[in-house]
Amino acid sequence: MTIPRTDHRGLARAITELTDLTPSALLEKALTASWPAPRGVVLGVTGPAGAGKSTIIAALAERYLAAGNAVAVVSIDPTLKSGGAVLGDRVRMAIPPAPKFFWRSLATRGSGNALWAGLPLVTALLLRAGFDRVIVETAGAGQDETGIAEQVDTLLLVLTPLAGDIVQQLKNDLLEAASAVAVNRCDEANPAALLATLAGFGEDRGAPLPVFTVTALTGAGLDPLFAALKAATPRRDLAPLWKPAARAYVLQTIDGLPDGQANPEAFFGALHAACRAEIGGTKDRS
Amino acid sequence: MPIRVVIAKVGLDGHDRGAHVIVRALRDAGMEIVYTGIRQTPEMVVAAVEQEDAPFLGISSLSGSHLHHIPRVIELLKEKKLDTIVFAGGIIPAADVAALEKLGVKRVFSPGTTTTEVVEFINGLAAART
Repeated sequence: MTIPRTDHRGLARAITELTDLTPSALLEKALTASWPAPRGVVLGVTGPAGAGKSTIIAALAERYLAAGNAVAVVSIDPTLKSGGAVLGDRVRMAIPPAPKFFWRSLATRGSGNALWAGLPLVTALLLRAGFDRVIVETAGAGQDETGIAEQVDTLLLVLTPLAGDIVQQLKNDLLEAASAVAVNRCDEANPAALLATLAGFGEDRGAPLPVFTVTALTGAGLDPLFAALKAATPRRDLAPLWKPAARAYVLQTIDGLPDGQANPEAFFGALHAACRAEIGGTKDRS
Repeated sequence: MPIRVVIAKVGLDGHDRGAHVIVRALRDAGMEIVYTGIRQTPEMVVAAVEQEDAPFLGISSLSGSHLHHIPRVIELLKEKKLDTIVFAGGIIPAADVAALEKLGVKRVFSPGTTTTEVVEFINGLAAART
């Protein structure tokens, strides 16, 4: 099903339909979804709470829109113990409504990895609608919530100058997953120590990890960051990579049993085997 | 599924303490709250309601501009054929309540309202809708 990019209401309702699916229906959807050939760039933005992810996304979205792109943002915030959530990312955005601009907030609803389990389905929906830049924002992520990396073309990690010493960075798997780092809020603290620490990162991957010094609130440093991200292209292997990743991810993150399933081991065992067979091309039926 | 509610501040009204109290109360009642933040245009608020697919919109107003901004929000909702349930709260004189209700505002909560009343108002209407 393709909903036109300008039908914001239709897109919004379709996303709600996805978020309201039972876990088993969501899984079935992920298993049977037809995945679009990547037509746009999917940019992931992750990092700790308060680092400035939403503010940077708003600034990037503004620039993409000015460059003529159609931009969709999906921002995720945590579901709390009460079952409720405060989806407070639009707060950082003051972009006038436009047909080429769509922003949807989602709650994690118990999924791990600072994501919502059905996110790939939402991204696919928005790409298919014709948005050529989809920006995905994780809930606040610390060190090991790297699941976002396999769902995006480019992953921007946002840190603050006070992100810690070399040992903190050595612990941080997000630095391994990231395509680039933005050190934000540089008006509040001196980033020199963190920049020196990050200088050695990425060399074992063949190229130094690009690090940008920005202050999103004032706009300082955003243009070089945007220029670098603008050069990102759809990863050729995104579609084949994404599909099994999404399946495995949905499977891993579903918490609880679908309605009417009495035997959890049998249910998940069968699904796991089916997924492994699909992903690895193996004949594993155990 | 959690009920989705947009809580919005329209215009130049910067008094957001009340909105934060409502956001927290609804959050604790298990709802998903999209908070727009202050200084929104009616167009931005309606875009949020549409894109977030929220059946409820709460507008907090403490600057006396409620009869200026809320009618415009409702007009835009009607233009887009959204059947959003709109409620309002803050400093809204009793004399203006009837006018707002006539426009289609479902309830105006005045100072002294308990958070429980707001939660029950939303839960009741959500149950009636399904």
